[in-house]
Amino acid sequence: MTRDMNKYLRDGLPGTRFCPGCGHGILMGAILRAVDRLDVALDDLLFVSGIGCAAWIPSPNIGTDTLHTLHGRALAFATGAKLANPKLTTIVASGDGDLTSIGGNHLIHSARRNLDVTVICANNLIYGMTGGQTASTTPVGARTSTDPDGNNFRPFDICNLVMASGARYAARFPVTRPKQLIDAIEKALRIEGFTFVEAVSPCPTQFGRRNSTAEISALYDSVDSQCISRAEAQTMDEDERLRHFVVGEFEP
Amino acid sequence: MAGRKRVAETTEVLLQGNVAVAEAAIAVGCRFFGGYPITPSSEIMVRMAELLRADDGVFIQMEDELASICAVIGASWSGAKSMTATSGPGLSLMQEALGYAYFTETPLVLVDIQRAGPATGQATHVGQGDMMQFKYGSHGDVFPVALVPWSVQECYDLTIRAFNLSEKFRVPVFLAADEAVGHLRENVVLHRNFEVVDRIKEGAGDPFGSPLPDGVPIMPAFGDGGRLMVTGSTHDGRGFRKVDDPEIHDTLVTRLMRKTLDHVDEIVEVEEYMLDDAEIAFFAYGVSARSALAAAKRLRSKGVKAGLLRALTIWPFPEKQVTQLGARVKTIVVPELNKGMITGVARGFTGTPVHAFAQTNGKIIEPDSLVKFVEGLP
Amino acid sequence: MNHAMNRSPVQVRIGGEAGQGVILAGVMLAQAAIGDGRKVAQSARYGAAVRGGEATADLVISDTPIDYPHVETPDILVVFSQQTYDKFAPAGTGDTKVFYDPFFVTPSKTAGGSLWEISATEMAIEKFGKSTSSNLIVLGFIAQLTEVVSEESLLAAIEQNLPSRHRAAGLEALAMGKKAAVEAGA
Repeated sequence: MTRDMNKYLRDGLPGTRFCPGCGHGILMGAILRAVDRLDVALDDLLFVSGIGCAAWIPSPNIGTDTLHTLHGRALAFATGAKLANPKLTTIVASGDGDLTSIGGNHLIHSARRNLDVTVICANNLIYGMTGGQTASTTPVGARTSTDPDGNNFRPFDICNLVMASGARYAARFPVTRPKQLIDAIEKALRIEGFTFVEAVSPCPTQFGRRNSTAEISALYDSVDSQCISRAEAQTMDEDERLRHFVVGEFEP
Repeated sequence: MAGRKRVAETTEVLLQGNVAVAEAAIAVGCRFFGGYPITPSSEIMVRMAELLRADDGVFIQMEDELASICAVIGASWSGAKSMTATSGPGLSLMQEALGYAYFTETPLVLVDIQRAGPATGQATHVGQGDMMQFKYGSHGDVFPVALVPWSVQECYDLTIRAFNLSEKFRVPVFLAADEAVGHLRENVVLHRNFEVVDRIKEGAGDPFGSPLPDGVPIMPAFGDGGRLMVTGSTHDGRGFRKVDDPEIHDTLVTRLMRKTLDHVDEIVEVEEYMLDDAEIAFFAYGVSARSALAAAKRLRSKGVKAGLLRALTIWPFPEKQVTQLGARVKTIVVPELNKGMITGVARGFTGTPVHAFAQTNGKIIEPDSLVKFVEGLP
Repeated sequence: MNHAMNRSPVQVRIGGEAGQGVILAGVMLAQAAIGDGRKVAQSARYGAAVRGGEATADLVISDTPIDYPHVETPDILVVFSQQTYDKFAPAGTGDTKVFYDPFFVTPSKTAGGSLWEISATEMAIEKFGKSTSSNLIVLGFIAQLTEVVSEESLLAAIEQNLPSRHRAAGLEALAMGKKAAVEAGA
């Protein structure tokens, strides 16, 4: 069954600005398909984003109210907008650097307050827009423009971070598994309170060409092959686990 | 503490300046406060917490000042008149978002209770060292509005005016108060004798553009069906990002400037004291203007023809008034609790000598030391 | 004096340590003065710590708008600590009336002004078992001796500022101060 997603797109758009092979287009499609399963009027939807490639998923592409904010501060803006008008279904869509590094404090405090928003974090493992610098989500050993010999620091486990901070639901899936991703976003949107979906959305331009391969399909295969279940993760030591993406749902 | 219950609208009561700010905000229709504790402004947030919760408004204590000002901007776009309050260190942290608020034409009121800086400085003692931050704290050209109260009554009256100007011009407005006025307790009348200005939500035109060179666009709220695109990047009238178009950027930056500068006659307020025959004039603002008025009276009693021009609006700067003052008097003295920030600005608008009485010891200026300073001038 | 025309401005300074009720005493005095139909400017100076450290309450009372809002030369100085006494006691001859609590302050033999001793802390401990009402005893004492505010307005200010469970004790403390003043003045 196909549905017309065009009604969610803003009039007069020239097309998205994403690089060829960027996962964010898939993620945008997943968000819209999840929203489409809800009974919410477009006028009651608010998308809030920060700065970076992922912040351009909603702004200007999605034809609802959109608030394209400052780097890191999407959740702080969303807090004011949602509290001042609680009838707004508020979705924060932004990148890993935006939400977990410069905006990390707002992320954990919004979860602590159980702010009634759904956060969708497009995790491309790197700073894309500024030229491939190391992020707080870059895997150990991955090469970046600021760590050409490989990153030495462990990445955040963002889902566990927000769950420990009080989130009601978190999930992690790669864009290579769109069905699970759509289901997870839908579930997050239906749960009242602070919910979080991390979409592993590899960046061919900045991450792929420095690491696995410049070939887009090979990059997607590589990411997908690193995905393991939480049960599988239990059997691994930390070093091995850090080379994988633990996918699935996290509930309190 | 007095005033947990609402007081009568005509009676003089004893209130602290900070509390009068909160009372005014509620009276003029503020429905959202986001803030973070900081001395010497915290009484404002405490009172706002009481008043907003009692009145179905929204009070939220955020995780830091960065978050506070951003929440205020978000709330303003959801249609609520919104405010935060802070002091110098918090104002420094808020600067990026203040530029955002200015560029997205978001009405809000920021109350700054200035303390002795820089850095942590002397948190409980007075300063006026943020005067340039209001105007020059943000990157890029910004032309916001800053009002300066000198009494508790003006903490009330100018907070109301700050909201009204903010709504009318869609611009962030500062209440540039200081610790001495914020913590002062005086007689105040919490009157309701004022006009309330609200942003225009509907009408012709786009939410981020105007055919007029100084025009203020309509501002629908989130949820009103406007499908708004709010962005801090350069944008066209509808809100589409236009980050490579030179003409759109220049047109936007220029219109935002003219929105306030073309209306200085409406925005700028000054008061004159004993200037008719004055030969020496103080040009002053905030608590320092009270020292100046006392000093001018003492100088008069000693036969010196002294007067005072007091700025109630410091940004946009009262350029015309300072030029006119320079033409009337032989000498101007600017007493201020910083190293001469406004003195330097005033010098740009008159050829008459402008002397700084710059005091940075965490205290307000004693009138006798101003008298002595004037008597010692050549 | 309170209801006379052209009452002259009065400058009051109360010094002590944070937590002694210094600032509350200043606030109540200011409220009483407003009750008398006057203009006030009441301010405080204190350090960053919530408890301890020097605290000073200033109050200017006038029938006309007050320009400079802080105290320059106090007409009435009340001190609850040696530190604030040493800092603010008038040098040489002055008109300042200095009120001190001997529990905390030993006045200098050379300082100026007129000295008034009020053992407020001792009286409070004796009567109430703790020192917290000493500020009200002092207020009753100086109101009686200086007529800086009317008794009626001071009573109203205390009623407004004290929670109901402390009100009776507060009014009693005020009366103790007044009685001591009548005795001292006699």
